[in-house]
Amino acid sequence: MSYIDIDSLETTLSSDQCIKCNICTASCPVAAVTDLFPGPKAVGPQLQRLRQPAALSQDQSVDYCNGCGVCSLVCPHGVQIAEMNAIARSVQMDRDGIPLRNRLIGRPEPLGKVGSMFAPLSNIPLAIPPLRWVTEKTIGIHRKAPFPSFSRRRFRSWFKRHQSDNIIGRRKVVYFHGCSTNYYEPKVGEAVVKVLEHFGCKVSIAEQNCCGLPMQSNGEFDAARENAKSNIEKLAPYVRENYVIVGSSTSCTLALKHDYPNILGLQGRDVDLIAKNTYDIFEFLAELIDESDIDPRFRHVNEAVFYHPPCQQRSHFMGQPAVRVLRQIPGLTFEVSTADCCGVAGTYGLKAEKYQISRDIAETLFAQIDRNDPERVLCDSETCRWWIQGHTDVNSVHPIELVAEALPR
Amino acid sequence: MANGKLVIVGAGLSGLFAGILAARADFDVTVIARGQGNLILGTGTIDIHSYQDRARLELPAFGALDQGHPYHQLSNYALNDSVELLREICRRRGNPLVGDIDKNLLLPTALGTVRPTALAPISMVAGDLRDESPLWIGHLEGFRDFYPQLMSKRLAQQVHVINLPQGIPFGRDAYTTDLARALDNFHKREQITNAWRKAVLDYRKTTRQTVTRIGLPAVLGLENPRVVLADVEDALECHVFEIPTLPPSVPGMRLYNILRAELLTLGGQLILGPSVTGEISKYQRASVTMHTANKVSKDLNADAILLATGGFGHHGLVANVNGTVSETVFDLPVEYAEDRSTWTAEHYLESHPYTKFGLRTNSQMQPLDAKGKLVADNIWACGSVLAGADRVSEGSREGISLATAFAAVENIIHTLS
Repeated sequence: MSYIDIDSLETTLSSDQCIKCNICTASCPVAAVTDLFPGPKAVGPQLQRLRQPAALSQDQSVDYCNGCGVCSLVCPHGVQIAEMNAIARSVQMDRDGIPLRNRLIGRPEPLGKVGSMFAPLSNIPLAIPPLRWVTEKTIGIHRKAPFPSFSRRRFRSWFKRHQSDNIIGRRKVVYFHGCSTNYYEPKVGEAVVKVLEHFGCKVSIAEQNCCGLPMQSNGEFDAARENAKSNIEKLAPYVRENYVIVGSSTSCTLALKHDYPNILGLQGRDVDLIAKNTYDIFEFLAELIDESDIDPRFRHVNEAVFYHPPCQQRSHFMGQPAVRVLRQIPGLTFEVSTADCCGVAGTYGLKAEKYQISRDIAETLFAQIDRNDPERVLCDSETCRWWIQGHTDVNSVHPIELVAEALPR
Repeated sequence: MANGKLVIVGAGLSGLFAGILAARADFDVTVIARGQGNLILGTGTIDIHSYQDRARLELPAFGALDQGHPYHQLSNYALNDSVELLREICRRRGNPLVGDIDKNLLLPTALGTVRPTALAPISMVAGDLRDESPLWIGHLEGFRDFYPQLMSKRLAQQVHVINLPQGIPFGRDAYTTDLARALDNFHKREQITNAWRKAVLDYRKTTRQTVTRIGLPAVLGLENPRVVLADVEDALECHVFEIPTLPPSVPGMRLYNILRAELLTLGGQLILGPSVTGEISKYQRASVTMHTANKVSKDLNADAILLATGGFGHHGLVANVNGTVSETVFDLPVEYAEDRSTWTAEHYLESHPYTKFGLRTNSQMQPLDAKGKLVADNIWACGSVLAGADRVSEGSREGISLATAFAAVENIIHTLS
């Protein structure tokens, strides 16, 4: 497995296709709320010329891109603006140095290992305001940014004890649970396994690392590549044995599908194999239900929920598959968010200098939640859920949890 | 379960509107487009038919139009019903459209020309030039690409210019969207309208004019245009109207947001980004595949495929170097003139023959080949990819998009169920 020089990646070369129409800037949630970010066009294709072949530009504003990816999607000319900006950020970080704070929040895996080992004790410091104040002043993690609680019980230990009825299964699935499910929200993983098994799948979990996205979006491309390579080596043998990779975190699966080759520049047969055989849980479920024409026999669920499709989900190019599945649950009524981004964008909103920007972006979504007054907010991405729940006080869950609740007993 | 799977290629007015119609009929709908549709570039108004002769405002009878015109083969209710539905959606979602399907409003453009259009957002109608009273146009300090002096030079009406301050600081050149979002925000709106109010009061005092209506570039809010309009009118104590700007167009974005929200709420799927190619089997069955910018391809499962890809400006049609014209998804037969020297008129602002190139369909909106035979059993087409109309010079773009989308979906429903 090798990786190619980012200056010759097609991603960066696509800047030539830009006609400066500004559709991306009009859709950018960050440019909409702050003038610290001049917009995707300005720091993307426009500045790109000054970055070739080496980093000549001293402009720092690309660090204010939150990586939601909407610019690449709305571009009618195929310019990969968000990808270009992620790469430019890493070049800038290489040059200027990566802050300790970025290294810390880029590593949920070692943090999770230690944190879950000492839970619930390890959750106490996060709840002490003076301590949060000190953390903000020393390393720049905003005191009001909501953090999830470490779970003492890990998903992987639950799975080891879990007895499955589906030894053969009509589809073989290797589940990429990601760090959040293992260390913070094992209930999400339990729901995934329960639902997949209900639909006749044989579920395995491979050895796996953090997908590397948090390091990538904090500018540490080399470290992210190490994680990516390790995951590819561990998952490829499964795919060769006709397993499909299914993940419940839209950002982890996007890293496997898209970021490894297109942002980190990894190349090789196994990279393509992983990219082509990775599915978001709802993308997989919707196809499974469609293909086999099975009646899911969902139970009646008398609830009004609000669904926010996270921004990374749109970069999967799969539509809104959670909606297609949820619509089949009788009695469930839901409103779909039209907000482009919840604001937090992974680790962006945790940073002291960016927290307020994220809060301002969130206004559109929070106003919609407020208007709809739902019992629960559904969202496929963990960082969005924590951010939404932390600020609105409305319980926020993964839509797969609701599907698991609706399964026939 | 759904009545069938429909893939719509294109997310402009006709694609989104067709998606809404099909989702209402309980179809499993996926709207897929290479980037955001063209609404963000448009004015947010609905042109039905304005003719080149500005004095004639009445809509011509469809039967009197050219045989090849998209309206010609439609039943009248396709236009009536589709416009009524669009009005209902826009009203319910807080951006009502005003006007009549068979009469035109005459709205001023930023260049000082008169533009006939059938329906316009409520925020534009006070600028109607059928009312021959004077206009006052606001010049927004720090906002580029909008020069009221141009309007005063060219309009027959009396036009006065009032300078309006920014009211709040912007850290960069303010885009239309920056101003609109600031006006959506209650506190910033108060600051801005207070500053404008003071400027207009001073203007009234010094000129002793009775200011009755003020035109502003179209930036009066993205989320809550009705509230913004009402507050601005209250503050300025007169009627206020919007004048469409260069892109990004705020009224166009409002329409896009409304249609997108309606589609998603009805359970329709929207995929932006990938391009789409199609194949037709020897049994006349069409299938489509999407391709992302990073070269991942995926077959899309579809019982019916609706092309709403647009014309030359939107990559639904391309003119090739060798003088041929292609349709971009299936490479369907396109009606065009072989002699390239006949494609354009002598003057830029004339009606150009190439604008009428496109797909020829039967009255069920299914594309035909040169011999008049169906190209596939499950392809339909609507909007600007269709042959037969110069949408710019006759002012018919949105009417054709809506009515042909309506007719196409009606036939898809009929065929699949």
